[in-house]
Amino acid sequence: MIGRVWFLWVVVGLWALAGCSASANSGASASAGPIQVSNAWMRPAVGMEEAQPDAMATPVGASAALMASAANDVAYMTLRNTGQTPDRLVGARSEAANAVELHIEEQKGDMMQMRPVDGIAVPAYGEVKLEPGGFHLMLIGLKRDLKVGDKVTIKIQFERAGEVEIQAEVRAQ
Amino acid sequence: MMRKKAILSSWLWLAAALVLSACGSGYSLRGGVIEPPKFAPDFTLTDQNGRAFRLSDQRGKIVLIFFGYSACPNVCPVSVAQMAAARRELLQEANDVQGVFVTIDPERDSQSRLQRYMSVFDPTFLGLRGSDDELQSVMKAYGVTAVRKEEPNSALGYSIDHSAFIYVIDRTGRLREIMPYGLQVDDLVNDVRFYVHEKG
Ligand SMILES: [Cu+2]
Repeated sequence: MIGRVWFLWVVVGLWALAGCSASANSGASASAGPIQVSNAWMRPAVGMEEAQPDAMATPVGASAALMASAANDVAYMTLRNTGQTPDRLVGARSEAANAVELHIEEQKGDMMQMRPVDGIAVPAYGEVKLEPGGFHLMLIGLKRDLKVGDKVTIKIQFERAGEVEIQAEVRAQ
Repeated sequence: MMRKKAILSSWLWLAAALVLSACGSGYSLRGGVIEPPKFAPDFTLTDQNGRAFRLSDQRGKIVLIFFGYSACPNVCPVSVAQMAAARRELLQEANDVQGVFVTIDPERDSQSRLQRYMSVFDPTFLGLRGSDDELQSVMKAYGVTAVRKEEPNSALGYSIDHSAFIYVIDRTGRLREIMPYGLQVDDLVNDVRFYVHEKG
């Protein structure tokens, strides 16, 4: 009888452990040191064309021609710094795109514009939101179509906290 | 008592004024209404399936036009998605609405690229392109501003600063509204519904 109960507890314990690790993997937030990243999302988008005659016909390194047929998407998220030292997001990469860049979008009067930025500061004990109308990660040259519900792994690089692997969820809007 | 009556009558007048204005031009439209409306400049461009698109062939439909580029991060996909959402919400009136995206970046937005880009939004929407000259003249006619900015430090190579309005054209081909960026889907539905039910 005691043996049986003991066995049951082990099963429950293992199940709980499995549940924990699974939720840590698929959860909406990730962290490294004092940096927490949450609510990462993207919009549906189409990837590059399977056949790229333009790219084939162009010498290697002619990135403009490669990009001519490229597709892009944008990732948004919240960066939180629970530490007492300011940090900076300085780069990103993803298996889903040829390049990932840090950009800012701005409205000047009636004009909409987008520019690359060197880094995005995350103040001590503060947070910064990458959101429509402001900072974003630009995924350039999507390697596949992104549909609602898909998850995209992006590794984002902080000056101090190092690299954080996040999962951005593709949402309708 | 007299005072109450006065207030009541002023409410009646206000109500009457509202009813009258609804019969006239002012059914509380939310976009930038063009008064008096003028004919939308006609143009012919090529859609994502390689077919010629002439604006004046669309008479009988409400046409929504957005000028943008597929590498645009936020404003373009949001605007076209709003047009698509508005069309979905209009249900039985949806067939009276034609959504149109005109690229300001024909260099990157090839026909096949536009085909794939438009498929994200609404299967009935058309993505138009043309030669630089053709596009320049359409953009000029509609007051679209687009300035190419070289970005040597970006894999994009260049970006395009641009205006971001939704142009609303009625069944008779008149340009009725230039909607600024930032309006909601509800606003679009509200205004398009007005033009759908408007009598000649
Ligand atoms: Cu960008």
